[in-house]
Amino acid sequence: MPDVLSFPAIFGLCYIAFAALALTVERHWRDLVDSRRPPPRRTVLRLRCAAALSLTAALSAAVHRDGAGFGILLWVLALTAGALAVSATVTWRCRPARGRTR
Amino acid sequence: MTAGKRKLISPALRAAMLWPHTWAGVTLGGLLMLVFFMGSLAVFASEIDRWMMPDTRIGAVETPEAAISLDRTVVPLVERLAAGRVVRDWFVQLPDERRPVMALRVRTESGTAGGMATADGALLPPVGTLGASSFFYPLHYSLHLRAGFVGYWIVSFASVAMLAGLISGVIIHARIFKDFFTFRNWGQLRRSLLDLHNLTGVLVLPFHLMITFTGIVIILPIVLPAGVQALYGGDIQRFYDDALGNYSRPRAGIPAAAAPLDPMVAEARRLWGSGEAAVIFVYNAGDAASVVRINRDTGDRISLDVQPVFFDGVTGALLKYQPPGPMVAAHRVMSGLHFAAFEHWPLRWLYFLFGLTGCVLIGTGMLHWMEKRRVVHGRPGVGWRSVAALTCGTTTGLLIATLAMMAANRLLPSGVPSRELVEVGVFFLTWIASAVHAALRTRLDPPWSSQCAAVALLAAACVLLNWITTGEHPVRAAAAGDWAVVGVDAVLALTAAGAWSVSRRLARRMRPEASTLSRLTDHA
Repeated sequence: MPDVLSFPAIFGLCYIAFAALALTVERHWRDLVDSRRPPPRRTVLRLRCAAALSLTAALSAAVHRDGAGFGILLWVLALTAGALAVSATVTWRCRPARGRTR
Repeated sequence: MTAGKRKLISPALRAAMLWPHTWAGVTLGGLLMLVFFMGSLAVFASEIDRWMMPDTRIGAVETPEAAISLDRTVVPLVERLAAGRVVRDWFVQLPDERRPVMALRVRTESGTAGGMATADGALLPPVGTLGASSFFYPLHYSLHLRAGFVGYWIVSFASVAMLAGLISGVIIHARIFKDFFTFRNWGQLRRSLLDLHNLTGVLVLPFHLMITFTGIVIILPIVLPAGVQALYGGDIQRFYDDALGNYSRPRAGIPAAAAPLDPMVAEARRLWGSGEAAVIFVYNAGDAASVVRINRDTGDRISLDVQPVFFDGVTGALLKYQPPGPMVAAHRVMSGLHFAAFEHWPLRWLYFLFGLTGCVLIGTGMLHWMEKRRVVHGRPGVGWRSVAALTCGTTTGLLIATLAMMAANRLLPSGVPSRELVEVGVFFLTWIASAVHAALRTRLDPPWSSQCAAVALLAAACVLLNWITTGEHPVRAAAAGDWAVVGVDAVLALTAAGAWSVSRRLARRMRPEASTLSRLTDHA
């Protein structure tokens, strides 16, 4: 992978991982997917597996890019960045829905 | 949440945690805001320095290509700076990727002299500013109160309170997993504020814990002096000499010719194996007991271990090169984590942004306290009004002061006597003025709208003044590859746009809006 693309890739993998985890949170599942039912157990399990896989992939990409020290630091900070981006997305996706129901 | 967890954090524990969390936030929030904001600016201190010192920008000087010869280029500069006086000690910081010029400092028998010089040995006119690295950055860790380390003590006390606040905040937060990722920016203002407070507190927790903890660790020998007191009789310099592998010896009083420096740099590079020399110190210059110290550039690693190599200044023989012990090595790594002195642009931006989320965390905490009090107590009293004014003075007021200093930097002519102190005066007077304005105008709300408008106007003025006084607008800077100026100008422009839209929205609603305030702080 070219070096220029690896940072967006690490960030993107963290974003995907936290997006999957956000869907396992009952409130966000009801807001975004199905307002009548909580997420099925098997879906939650699959989402969590996908999240773990993405996070591992992000860690290996980060370590591959920058070596162990910088890679782990970059990964930890990219985790936070990904999680913040996911919560911004959740806010943005939920706001019109709430607006209509009120 | 499991049943075990529910038992672990009982309502009583939560209540016990809440009051120190609240008190620490309300009393020390303003100070912590200053520390976090100036710390975030310090990440880009070198870039802000270039912006504030136009003579040292990429576009103004040639970027050095070959390695600089100390004997041919630097030593003549030292003699010129000394201007005939006897040189005692001097040091030079060689140019690096973020600073295309070298910085010299010479201590003579009668006072010190300093200056910047290009790589080919031309002395630049005095910069006339402390810049970010000598003003914003020391404000971050010492509040410029150096006497008796008072400022260090205050900042580390606030940092311990921050650490306590972070951990107690996690304990207080009742639905940490159910509310993960939740930010409702609609509906009740109080709920939005708390959402944002929780969100930044939880999601950025690893960074905040790391940065606060390592910040305390750096100045540990100062704030926990018992060991230094017992073993070194309180002489912290001697402790650092031992711990960091330093070497010093007194002046002999016998004049002696200096050995050439370039072979010493070559030898130091051979000892390091890889890496470049960053700083060269010469102690007791021209004396028989002369010592040369060469520090390694730490841009390629996290650790701040500069691996100093010491040479005899007369014979050129190696005096000391001692790898640090395990404790010191760990301390250097933690310091490096905090300093972020490494060459890594994504990490540098993440440090900057997460430092600003620290400001959001503290600011939303204070705003939430204000909103809650308003609901509980109705008419605001003196206590509420002081906290409100403090919050305003340390958010928008601090921004106004910083921007006013940057505008003054571009406006003041270079001939003004003690120009750098005039700039500092502008910073503090503007800050005091905006705090007084906040205190006087706070009735039902602090004057958010007018202060945001001031931020917007000042930030826009900074970009324009930079263009007018240096002729370097962002497009030209980008074409010249001067990314420091492009970056500073871009962040200033974003601040101006964000603050202006916030100010307009507030003026329309006449009520402070949490989400917009946080956006403003984000852009700062």
